[in-house]
Amino acid sequence: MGRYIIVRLCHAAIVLAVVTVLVFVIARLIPGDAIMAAMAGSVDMSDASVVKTVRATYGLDEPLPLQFLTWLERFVTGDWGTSLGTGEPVLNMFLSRLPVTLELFAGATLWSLAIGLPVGLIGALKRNSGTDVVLTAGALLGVSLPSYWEAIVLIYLFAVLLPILPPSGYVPFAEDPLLNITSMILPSFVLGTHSAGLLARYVRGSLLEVLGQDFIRTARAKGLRERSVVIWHALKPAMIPIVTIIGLSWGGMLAGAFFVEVIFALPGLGRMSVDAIFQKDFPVIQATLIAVSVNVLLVNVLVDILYGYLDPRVRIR
Amino acid sequence: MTARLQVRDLVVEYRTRDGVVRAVNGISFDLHRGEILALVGESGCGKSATALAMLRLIPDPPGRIVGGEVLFDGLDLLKADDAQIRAVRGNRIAMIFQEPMTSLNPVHTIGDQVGEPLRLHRRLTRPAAIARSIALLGTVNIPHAEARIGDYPHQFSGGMRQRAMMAMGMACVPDIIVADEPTTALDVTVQAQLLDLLKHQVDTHGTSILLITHNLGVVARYADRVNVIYAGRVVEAASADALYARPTHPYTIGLLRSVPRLDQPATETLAPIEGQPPDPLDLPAGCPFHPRCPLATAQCRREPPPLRAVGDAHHVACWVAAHG
Amino acid sequence: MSEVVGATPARPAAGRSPLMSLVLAVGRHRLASVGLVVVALLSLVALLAPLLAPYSPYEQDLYNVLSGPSPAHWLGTDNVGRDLLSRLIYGTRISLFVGIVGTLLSAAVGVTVGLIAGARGGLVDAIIMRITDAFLCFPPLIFILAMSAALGPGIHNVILSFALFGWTGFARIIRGQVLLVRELPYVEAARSIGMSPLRIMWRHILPNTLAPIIVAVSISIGLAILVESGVSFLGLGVQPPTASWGKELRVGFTYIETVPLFSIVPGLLIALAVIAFNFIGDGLRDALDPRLRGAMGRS
Repeated sequence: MGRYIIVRLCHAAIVLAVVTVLVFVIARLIPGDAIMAAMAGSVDMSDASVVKTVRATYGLDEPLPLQFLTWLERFVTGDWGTSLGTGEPVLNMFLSRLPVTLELFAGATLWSLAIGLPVGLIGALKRNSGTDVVLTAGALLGVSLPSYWEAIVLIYLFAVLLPILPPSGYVPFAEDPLLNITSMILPSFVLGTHSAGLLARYVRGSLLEVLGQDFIRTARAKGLRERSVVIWHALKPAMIPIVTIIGLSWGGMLAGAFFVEVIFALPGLGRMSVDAIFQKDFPVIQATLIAVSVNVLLVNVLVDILYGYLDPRVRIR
Repeated sequence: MTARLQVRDLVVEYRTRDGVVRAVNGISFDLHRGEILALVGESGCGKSATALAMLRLIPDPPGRIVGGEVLFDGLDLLKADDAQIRAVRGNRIAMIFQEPMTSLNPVHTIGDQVGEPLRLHRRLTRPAAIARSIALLGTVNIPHAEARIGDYPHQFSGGMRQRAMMAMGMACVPDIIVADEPTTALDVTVQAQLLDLLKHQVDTHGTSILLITHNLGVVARYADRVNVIYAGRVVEAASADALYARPTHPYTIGLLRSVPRLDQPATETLAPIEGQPPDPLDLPAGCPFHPRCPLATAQCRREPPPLRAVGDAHHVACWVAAHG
Repeated sequence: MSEVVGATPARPAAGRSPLMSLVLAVGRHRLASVGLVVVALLSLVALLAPLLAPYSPYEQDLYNVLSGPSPAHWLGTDNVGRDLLSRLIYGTRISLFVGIVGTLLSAAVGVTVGLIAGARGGLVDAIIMRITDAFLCFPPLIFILAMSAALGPGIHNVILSFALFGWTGFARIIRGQVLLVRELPYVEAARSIGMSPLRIMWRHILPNTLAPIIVAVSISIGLAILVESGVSFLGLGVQPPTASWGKELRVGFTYIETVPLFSIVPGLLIALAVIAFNFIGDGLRDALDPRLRGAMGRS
């Protein structure tokens, strides 16, 4: 098990290295010097010596590989640069917006589990019935609906037609716990339904596959009731691949958070990234991309470890 | 003496994409106390479906038990309610499956799986069930059973897994053990050990065994009586001795000829049965064996032959053999 | 019970090509046939847009803005008085164009890379696979948004960034298939008679990978449509005055309290298109996945 984890970590480290190069390249793709563009308002760009000083200040006159290494070293030591838009240190911006996004994700994960698991379970147990077809189509609907549209419809229904929930905005939990929760219901639901659809599909597929296995027949031949067969013999092996989906859906949620935070005016990482993209604020874009990929990688490693815990065939190795 | 288990006119169908397959087409037999009855036939002849149907373990969909009776202890298992059939499964009638690799749950320990019938039907606590499982694994000759009880199936060899399956089947000392190709995947010496274990169970507890196999050598050595199955029907039923001494149905004769025997002169060549098993979607009219049968007559092509007595407790479904 | 069904010979109808039987299998699939009908309708709308649209998508009627449904404007007018129905009909062209071209580009890149990785193996394969892993760390939309930001707004950059991201899925599928097919006896045989590697790929490996690629293409088109409308929704995709479902949705969102139809209808269209392609992909997958097929037959 120890070696297994180490192998997974090494794998993740290599991928991370490729990711950092990729992110650096993307940021440098911005046509013209983004920094020059951003500074154009404040300094006189027609003066060649000023331009030179600015370039030197930001290290833009050095060769690209060197720029990359300097950037990487600073990034690892916590110096994420300053935002070209707000002038704030990127790390501070990041940390101040993180709690909002985390709360959103926690709520979304709850919704996704609360909807996805039962829908997948029922679909598998009643497979090919009318219920199953309806649930399968519903799950596919959850996957395919654009989250921004779902958000708009829900705002229209629950904030305009039937004004029981706030249409948008964010209040910290410490300030007003009730308002904090109610303002999170719609955004987290929108974010959760997408992964709920994915989850339901995989739960159904995985459970059906396990229920067709020979050892399920063995369990039935022992005289177990169907409920016990499912709970004791089918669920655990079926959950093994599902863990992956729960992990992967975190990555997907980040993309959804871009829209959800914009539409519901939540001051989280998604909103910050969209603003940064519009302002070509590339220190912030870089930080977001890295944070996202590190998050996805970490979740994947966690999933692998959980995998090992759930599946004895992996654990022993 | 009435039989312990009576199967009457069992019919099982599978719905496939290309049509309905009648896998079991009116099979009947009795199983008495302390006897080993073998169901013999080629792959796909319906012998496994018969075994599964007895305990209503046919996966539905696509399978369905269309008709018949399975009488056990005054109860028709095909009509019993859920609680009744569950009380029989694993307790009074246990099954041992082929493919021990896939028939054991990979995420539970051997001990938990072997002890599960005891916890279920004997209401043993987990520690008591584990203790009993250790003893059971000992009786099926698993070395160091106590140390291996917490192992997972993938840590066992194929032979050990099949022993564990047997221990699981014997756990509640059932009246009947249904063994579906219990030794197919194993090498010959292990096969013999395992079948001896089953035989021992018969001798000590009067257990009845329904042995499902395509291996005529195994049948000759262990079975008391044999039912030969072809295309979902019993074509010949006899005591093992009678069957080997006087095989009557052309299919049985063909089967026996296609098996090499030590007491056979080396000059005699093996004779495989001509042709292919019938397409279950498109069974021939009349006797299902007639396209492959060297003796087939016009009647064979028209009417299916009924099972008729040709000797003492020896029945055969054949127009030609029954006449002759 | 494997025996019973296992003995059932697979009975391919005479003269039916694999592709044809695939189409038939999709037709049998309830949800997939719904998807096929929807996609056919949308394609028709895109092709015949000039005939179907009652107005030009750019014709402004400034005395009649945000009108709501009327006999003259079935879906009402937008904030500068353009006919919403006409704009949505023309928007179909954009969505399908991005979906299909983006997918074809990424499939072309992915198939090439996957073939190279699978056929070469060794270090080349390892490097390529780590790179695809790195791409998979980014959720598609985030990557494409960052790319769109870097390349500047516009429909062509959306397509380009989708292709730059989307190839990884195709590459993985192809690589897996190549590894699988490479060991098959008839490929070994082809190699043994001295067939060139390129010819082997073209003649033997590519046809075998066709089925999973078709599934991936169908799902990828749905994803590309979703991405285009998402990027346009945020304002980085299609630029004014061109009509796109995502952009109409964004503008409509501003007026949700007064003319809800303005944002709800474009969203419905996006959802419809994406769901249709996903239904088809699902049906294809069910028809192709031998494991699922097995589960239907035996369980």
